[in-house]
Amino acid sequence: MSGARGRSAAAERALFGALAIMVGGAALGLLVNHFSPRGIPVFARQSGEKPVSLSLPAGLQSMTVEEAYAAWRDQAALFVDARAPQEYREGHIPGAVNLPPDEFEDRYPDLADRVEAAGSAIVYCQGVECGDAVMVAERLAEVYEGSVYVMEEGWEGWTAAGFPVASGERRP
Amino acid sequence: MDGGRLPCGLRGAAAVRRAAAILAHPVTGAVCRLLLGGIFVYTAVPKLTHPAEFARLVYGYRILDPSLVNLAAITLPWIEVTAGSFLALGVLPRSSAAVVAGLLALFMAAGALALARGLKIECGCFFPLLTGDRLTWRLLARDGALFAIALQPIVWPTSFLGGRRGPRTGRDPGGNDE
Repeated sequence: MSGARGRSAAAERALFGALAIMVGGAALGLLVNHFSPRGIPVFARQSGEKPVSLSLPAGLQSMTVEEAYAAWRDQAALFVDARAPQEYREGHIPGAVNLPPDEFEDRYPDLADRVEAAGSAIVYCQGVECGDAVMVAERLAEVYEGSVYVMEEGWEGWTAAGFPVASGERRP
Repeated sequence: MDGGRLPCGLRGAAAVRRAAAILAHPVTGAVCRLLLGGIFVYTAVPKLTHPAEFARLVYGYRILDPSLVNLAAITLPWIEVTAGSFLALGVLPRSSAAVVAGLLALFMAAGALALARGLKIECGCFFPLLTGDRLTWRLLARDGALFAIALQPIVWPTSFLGGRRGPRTGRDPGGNDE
């Protein structure tokens, strides 16, 4: 009997400890996020029927696919495709350069002239949920004088809107 | 009687006892804790240093209301890193292992739901910058294996140096676990 009581008390202590770890970890996360320069709002914005607009780190600006299309039509910006080379080969925004995050250091020096010549850069990846565009945009913002935008709805948003696409190998 | 031979049933029972002794051994406990705790800390760090990117991965699972996605992306990696480091260090071993097992169960459920709905998304288990893993049933099976490992410190919790933290008996009513 006392053994069963002991086990029950130990299980209660273990559960209480687990709860403390979760609450403590969550509180630590909120605290660090509050003071971190990479912190994001605790609650994401959502506007109307559009896909969610998750927050971007400081220094980056969001752009809708319609705004991006206007910039593409007017040749006012360089498009940067942050997806894998194979996805780029299968389809991309015409004129976009391919710059996945894990190739940034290797490829950026070769692309720097084209990027610098453009007044601003619009970075995209597959859709709202991919983080690669944000990652590339953050690195770009560190080395590039112009404005850096993230087209949050990504390739999926662009193709869903019926805007022009191209396919084929990337240029070196 | 045939000297060294035991009847089949007894041989099976002896094998089960040997397996249980190996599973309950403090060294097995230390290996399980360090492995699992290390994996949790290693995989949490990129997520907690890139909250905006991780929020997108969480959003991709299409489970949470979008307004809650950021909250989950901010808190989850810190819960992972707290539980993982506690587990590796043997601090509250049973509790931290329970949190790790709970998180793994949550990840498996969320992943299975996403796959069943035909979503083609990044796993986010390890960070895409490191592996670029697409969510697959195989990755969920890996989570299942980690879940099985997490049961060891729950049943036989050990402290940092492998000292036994339980199980409690009637003669040790207070126990010394957590």
